[in-house]
Formats: sequence, C-alpha cells, structure tokens
Amino acid sequence: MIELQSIIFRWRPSDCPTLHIPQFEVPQGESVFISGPSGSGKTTLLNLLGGVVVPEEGKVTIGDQDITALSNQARDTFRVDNIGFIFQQFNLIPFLSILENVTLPGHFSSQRRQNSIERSGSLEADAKRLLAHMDLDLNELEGRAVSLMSTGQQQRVAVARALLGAPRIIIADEPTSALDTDTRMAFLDLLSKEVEAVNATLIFVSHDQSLASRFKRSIPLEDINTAKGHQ
Amino acid sequence: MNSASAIVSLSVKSLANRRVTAGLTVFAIALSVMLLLGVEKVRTEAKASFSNTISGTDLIVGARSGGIQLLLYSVFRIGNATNNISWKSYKKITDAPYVEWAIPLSLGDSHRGFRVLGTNNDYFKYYRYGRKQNLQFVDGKEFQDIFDAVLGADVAESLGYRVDDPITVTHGLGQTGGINHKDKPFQVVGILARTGTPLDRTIHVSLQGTEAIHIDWRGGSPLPGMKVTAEEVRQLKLNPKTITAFLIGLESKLSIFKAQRQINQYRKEPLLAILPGVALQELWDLMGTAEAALGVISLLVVGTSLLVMLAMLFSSLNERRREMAILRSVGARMTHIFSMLVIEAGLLVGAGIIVGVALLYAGLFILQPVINAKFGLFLSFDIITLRDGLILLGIFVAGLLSGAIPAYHAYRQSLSDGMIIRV
Repeated sequence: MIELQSIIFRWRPSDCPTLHIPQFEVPQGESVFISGPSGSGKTTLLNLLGGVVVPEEGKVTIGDQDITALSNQARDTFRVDNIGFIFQQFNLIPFLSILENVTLPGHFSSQRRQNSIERSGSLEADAKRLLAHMDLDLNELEGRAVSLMSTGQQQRVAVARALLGAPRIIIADEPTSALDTDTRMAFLDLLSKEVEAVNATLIFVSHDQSLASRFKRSIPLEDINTAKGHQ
Repeated sequence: MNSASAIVSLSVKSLANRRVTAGLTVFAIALSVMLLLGVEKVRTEAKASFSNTISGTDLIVGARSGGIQLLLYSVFRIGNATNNISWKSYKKITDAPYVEWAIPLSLGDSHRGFRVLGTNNDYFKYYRYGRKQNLQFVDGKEFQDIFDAVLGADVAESLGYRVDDPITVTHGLGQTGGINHKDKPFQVVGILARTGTPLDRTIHVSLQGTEAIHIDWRGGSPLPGMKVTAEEVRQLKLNPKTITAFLIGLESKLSIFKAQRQINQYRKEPLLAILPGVALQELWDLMGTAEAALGVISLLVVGTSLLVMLAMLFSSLNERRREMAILRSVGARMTHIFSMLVIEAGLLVGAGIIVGVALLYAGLFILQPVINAKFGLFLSFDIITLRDGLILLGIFVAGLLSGAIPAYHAYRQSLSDGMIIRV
C-alpha cells in the first residue's frame, strides 16, 4: 500500500508549494494511471514516492513504513528494496551490457538479490528470465551496445530491470512517450501483464490521456494535488 | 557482488567507455611521474657519484685560488688551474712528519677529449674513491716506463683501446686543435676498473712522461729548431719543475687543521689546502638552487597532470547526469556517487603511476649507456627506494584528494537532480 498524507512540498522555501496532497492511497497490487500536463508536479511526485526528496510536511507511507522518518541512506536502501523505476527514455547505462543493466538493482539491494536468487538461482538467470518475458532474445542482442538497440527494446530492458527481484512497487514516468503508437500499446500490455503477475503496485504517470483507458483506475493529478500557482 | 564492488566495477567500466580521454589522462600522469622520479634519480645518483669521487684524502693542495675551483680541476677534471705550484714546495710540504702519503697531479694535456694526468705510482697505491675503495686493474699494470699510460675504464671503452695500443697526447684540451706530441707516443700498459667517477675518463701517465713531452717546449708551444726525440729524452733527468696540485694523506686526522693552516701560510708560494668533504659540500650547495628548481618544475608538472585529470572528470560530469540518475533510481547512495568519482581518480592516478614507473625503467634501460658515456653518470637499475615510494604515495593521495572536487560536484548535482533524467 502507498499512502500520502497532508503532503506539502516546495523546491525552495520562497516558492509556492509544488505539491499539496491532503490524502492519496493506492492499495497493494493496484495499477494507477496519473495524468497531468508537463509542469503539473508529476516528476516531483515520483521523486517524493522514491524518497529522493522529502516533503516539508506530511507522511509518505509505503507498506507500513513512513519513509519521511528514515535517514537519507535508509531511504536509498528502502527505495531500491521496494521500488522499480522506468523512465521516459535512456534508462540504460551505455557502458554496461544488457545483462549488467538489468542486474543493477541486485547489487544495491540484498533483498531484491535474494528474491532473484530464490526465484531463478542467480541474478543473471533471473535477469535472463525477465528479458525473455519481455520478448527480448538475449542470444540475438548479446554483445550489442545498449545504445544501438531500438527505443522500444531499451524500454523493455528497463522494465525487466524494474521487475528484477520483485519490488512491491513499479513507478513508470512517461515510459511510452518515446515509443511510436504501435509499440506503445504492445509495451503497455506487456508491462501490465508482468506487473500483475508479481502482484506489484504500478504507478504510471503520463500526460497522454489516451492511455488512461488501459488502467482500472485513472486520476488526473489535479484531483489529488490541490496546490495552486505552481508553474 | 555487493554495492561497493559494484561501484568499483562501474568506475572501471565507465573509464573504459571513455578510454581515449582516460588513456590520455593516464599518459599525462605517467609522463609527470616519470619526470619526477627521473629527476629524483639523477639527483640522488649524481650526489652519490659526486661524493664518491674522492675519499680517504685529507687535503687537496693547489695554487691559491678558490676552494671549489681547486676541487673542480684537481678531482673532477673540470676547468683549469690558474697557476701551477713548484716541485720544491711540493717536496717541502710533503716531507713534513705528519704527511703519510702524497700524490702529485699534473694536468694540461689531453687525448681525444680525455684529460691526461701526470702522477706517480703512489696514485695507484693511495687514491681512494667511494667507500675508501682502491683502484683496480682490469687489464695490465701500473706505468713503469716514461711513455707508459694507464687508461680509465671509459677511455678504454669509448676509444676501444687495449693494452699495448699506442696513443698520442695533444697539448691543451679539446677534441681537435692543439698541437700533437706525435714525436713521443705513449703506450697503453694498463686499464683501470670502472669507478663511476671522473677518473674513468682520465689517462694516467708518469710525471716524467708529461715532463718528457714538454722538454722541447717553452710557454705552451714547441721551441723552434729544438727537437728532442723520444730516445734522447730517456737520457735526460726528468724532474718536473711544476705540478698542478697534490693530494695528501695524513698520519693522523687530528693534524688536518694544523697541516691546512701551515700550507695556507706557506711563505715561499701562495698555496691553498682544502678538505675534500667540505669543498664537495660547498660545491653541492652551489648546485642546490638548480636542483631545487628542477624539483619544483617536476612537482609543477605533476600538478599540471592532476589538473588534466580534473578537467577530464569535470567535463564528463554533465554528460553523466543521466547515468547518476539511473544509479540513484536503482539504489545507489549519495556516498556511492561520490566514491565512484574518487575511485575513477584513484584508478587514473594509479594507472598513471604504474605506467610512469614502467616508462622510467624503459627510459633508464635505453638511456643508461648514453648518459654514462656522455656525462659519466651511472644510473643504477635498483628498485624503487622508500623515498620514491613515498613520493608515489604522495601523488596518489593528491590524486584522490583532487578527485574529491569533481566527486563533490557530482554529489551536489545528483542531489539536486534526484531521479529526474534531463534528456
């Protein structure tokens, strides 16, 4: 479960609040589509959920942990233990191989490493399993530079990385905006299917309203964020 | 693999990804390390070979001039004496009861750029270098005849001379020019073992020999119409009238200052007696400024190479924001981001040091014979000294510390970027 309570956040003390969220809840296993134009505070919300920034006031509870009460280091560990991220574009570190990119979270989270090993025997084996689930043929892609893959392929590798070691929450920040319409829907289906399979919570943020129909629950950010006057 | 080794491996791979700039940076550091160690090596070896040149001699006596000048021409065969001293004075002084031994030195002639030293057989008996080592012969023996010559190791090696070869002495110095004493050739009778001192570059003949070749000369040129052949000269009494300088060994070290005072106050002729150790130190101090300047320059070069590294790390930071954001999203802590940059600096400097030391040894291997032949400086191949090790450690620490600057920058940048990926 994710719960935001009485959140006030501003980037600088002199700014108006970017986010003011009195109450917002996502039960475990649910997929939520949060829409909003650019500049509406979507990215800030994701940074807040990831514990990269902390609110001035209010609580961010994930599971039964209030992450605002954690130290910076503990939040970093909590983040990787519990959340997998997928970004808009360029999710992959160019000088690492596909497999190395996918196994990255396993090197920073012993919990996710443990999950992977229990599931598939080793980090690499689990990464290969997930890549296969994402319809990526590692034999074909092996040795190819990450930057030479198509955007669609890169995004699918990013999903495999987010899912590695079964985190409870997947946060996707406009993951489809760089994809063309055909691959967009296929990507979305694949993502939803895999997230459902591990009973993870999915927070999907986009400005693209046409994707809303694919989700059980869809909320415009304005509905939960009452902050006014932000840019 | 835990997070620490993941960060190290990320640093290595990130550098490998930028191998051209990283390689150039390593090369710049390597060159500076080589330069610094090279200067250090030349300095210590020069000082060692310098103070090893003469040992066991209590006083050097010459015509009154400067102490350093006397040391230079009598021991290092550099420069010339302004005045000679008379044989009578030599005899008088060395007859004193506190004198154990004395070696007369007569300079002024040369053979193909190498100085010819007129002396007597006591030279081989009493002259000491290094840690009071005696001269050794690799071939032949001391001179016996008037026209016998004993060669230093470098002379024999670079001119390819062996025992029984004839050599012709040139009046004055220099490769060419001067007037030959071809009418009275010498014969090589012995070759000395290498000493690593200017002695290796000297040709030793008897005082009678130098006297003989100048018998028909007056004031630096042959007397016209007067010709004394080598055979005739043997019939003559060849007592030198003057010598250039002489070395003294005393019965007791306690009488050094007394002897020095007496010689300096000698009435018949203005003489100067110096203690070799003191004069060597004075001479070395004189070169101290140049030595310090060299050291400062090499340190500046090391500093410059670290700046090159900083420039390289800084210029990469902006394009690596995305990389940092991704790492943050997969659980890298701020300390990981910081250490990644410091590790990269450490790897660059570490590689630079290793390559630099390798370059130094390669350079030594190639240049050693050349330096030895040209400057008479023997650079040994010993392993890195403790001092060198400390210098290298210092460079490494300086590299890590300077790596902390871009690391801190990356830290700040990543802190404000969070997981926002700027496309």
